[in-house]
Amino acid sequence: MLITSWSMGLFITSLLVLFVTLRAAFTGVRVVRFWDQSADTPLQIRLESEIWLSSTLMEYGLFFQIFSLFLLVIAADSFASLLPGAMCATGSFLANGYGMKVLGLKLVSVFFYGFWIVIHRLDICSPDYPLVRLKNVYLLFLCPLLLADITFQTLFLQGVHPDIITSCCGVVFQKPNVGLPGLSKEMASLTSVILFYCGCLFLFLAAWRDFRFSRVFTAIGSFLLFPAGLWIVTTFVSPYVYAMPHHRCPFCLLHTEYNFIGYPLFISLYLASFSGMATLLAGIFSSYSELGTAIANFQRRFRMLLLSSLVVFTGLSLFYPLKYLIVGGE
Amino acid sequence: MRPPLQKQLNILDYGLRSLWQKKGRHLCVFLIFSGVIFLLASFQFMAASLTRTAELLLATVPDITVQQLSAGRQIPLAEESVAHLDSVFGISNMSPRVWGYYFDERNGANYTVIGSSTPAADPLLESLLVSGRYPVAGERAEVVLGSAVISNLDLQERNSFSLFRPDLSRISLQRVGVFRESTNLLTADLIVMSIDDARDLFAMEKHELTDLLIQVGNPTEIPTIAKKIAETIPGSRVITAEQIRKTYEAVFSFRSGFGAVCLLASLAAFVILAFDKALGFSTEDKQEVGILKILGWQTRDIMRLRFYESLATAGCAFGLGVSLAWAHILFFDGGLFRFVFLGWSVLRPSFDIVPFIQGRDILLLFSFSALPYLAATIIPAWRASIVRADSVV
Repeated sequence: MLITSWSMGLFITSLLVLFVTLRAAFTGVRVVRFWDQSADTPLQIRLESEIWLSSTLMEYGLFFQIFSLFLLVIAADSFASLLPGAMCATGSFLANGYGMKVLGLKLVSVFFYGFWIVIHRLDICSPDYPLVRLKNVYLLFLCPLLLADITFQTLFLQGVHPDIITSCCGVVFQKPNVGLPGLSKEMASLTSVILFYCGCLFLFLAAWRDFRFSRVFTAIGSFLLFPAGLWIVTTFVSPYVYAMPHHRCPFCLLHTEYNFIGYPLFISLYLASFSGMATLLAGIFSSYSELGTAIANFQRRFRMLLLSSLVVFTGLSLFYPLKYLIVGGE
Repeated sequence: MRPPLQKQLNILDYGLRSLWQKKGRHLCVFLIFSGVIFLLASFQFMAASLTRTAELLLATVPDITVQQLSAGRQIPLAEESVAHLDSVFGISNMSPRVWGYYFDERNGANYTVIGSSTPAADPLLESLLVSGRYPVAGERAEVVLGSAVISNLDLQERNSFSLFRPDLSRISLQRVGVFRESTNLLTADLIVMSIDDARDLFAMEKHELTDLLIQVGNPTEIPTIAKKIAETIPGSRVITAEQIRKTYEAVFSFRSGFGAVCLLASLAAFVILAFDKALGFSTEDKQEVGILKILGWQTRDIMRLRFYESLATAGCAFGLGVSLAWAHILFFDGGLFRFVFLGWSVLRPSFDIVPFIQGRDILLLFSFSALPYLAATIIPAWRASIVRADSVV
């Protein structure tokens, strides 16, 4: 096992996430079992104050989990200098079978945590807390996800040894038969690039103006945006950033020599995708009449967030290819 | 300004004023927290700075080093095996070397003695000298010394001194150069002489070498050439500069991780202290919450207020701890933890660490220190905020 400050930092952060979620789940179980809005019993009064604790814990949990995701990527990048063959985080994640799993789990759990916060914020807009039971059931479903996250993370760190020979990103994203199937199979063709950016344009229009099926299109489009965006960044955008046709890697974009361009690129992609899905999520509760105004406000804000982050993402991702076409290569 | 933002700013303002009024109570937690962060940050900065120092110094290391092994132990390499490497293309320079450790009985120190055929030919090595020159080919008994060797031998202004051969006969040597103190990580205990003098000192045979230093024209070919050398000289151990760099980095990473594990106990103790301290709120605090609730504050507002207080405490302690740790590295060369990273010996190399800090180290330290503290104060903050107004006012 690799005992470095990074692995210790990851452990501490994951333990904190687990601690806050389990404590919130403890309240969640009691809310699911005993919540009765009309009652005036000591238990109900106690639960009404405890839901503030659980919601604060979950907000902290989301912050810790986002922090842990950043920490994991940077830690994997720092492990690369210790592993033969690895040049960036890609090599470290592929050093054993758990690296990509823990990365995927952390990404997914950040989405799910975010959805919980959306439901919670909607819930507290009404004095009756109409979604309190639902959000606590949802909270209980988050626990196995976080347990899997910390388990895979431990297995990943356990399996990283400086004597393991791994592959550098130049190999992984080049050959179809090595590593990450699906992401690395082939370079994005012109058709797929045009399709992706046309899809982004439609998503923008659907979020901007209401028309027939615009909400369905926003929901489906934002759901597909995240994986499709990752793929397009890896196979189409990154070679232009590196100014090397054969270098395709999503992790090297986070390095100093490329001006940390990966961070705004991935954060805007995440925000665009999340806010699109959150718009749909808020719409699901439109049957609760007391939440009508709150839902409309939420949807308006999320649509604004979707529009702005989509503009940032497409602008940044098209900047390097367009610069190459207009100014020429380096 | 938008009302929600104005509300948050008002809560923050109230929180900071309240924190300042009760500064005596928070001082203890603040100081201990700063101390814990100082310890963690010193370890992290020390590891980063040493890795950086090693990287800069290893720029002078040859691309490939070849040694001879027999039964898993290093033995002298026969000089004629060098001729076999003529068939390997891509080698730009080969330099045979004899080296070993010389034990100085007077003060119990070990000096590293290196006998090289043509040290003066390398301009990078030339830059390591603070004065003088390297031994010239053909001239005998000339040496270049590291600063710790000079002080241990008590040479002062003298240039002549002698060392003992294994049979206790003396070999007279003349100092012709001195290494820079900034490279003391590698040169503090070093004596460089001609290859024949080194053989003479260690009583080695005329055709024997300790190892062979190889420079490669194209750096991307180093692994391939290393593989070919290993095939050409049976039983040889071939070490590349990249492997040495990775080893240094692995050692410093492991030591900083190990230090972090040791300091986890102090971190855990601090978190328990912070939790306990935050839990024990006084009658005054309860009355304050009661009054705030009568004024219209809600549970979530009071929790937000406590969060801002914790964040301000954590932020200030983090700033102080990290600044102190940086000063510790910058002005005191990490004196407190130096021995943990470098080991200890009679001739502990004294050298200037190249201070090095990255944004990612700050992020890591934040996860180590501020996040556990923030997590530890959630439950006490909630307990304090659910006080009923009618029960205390």
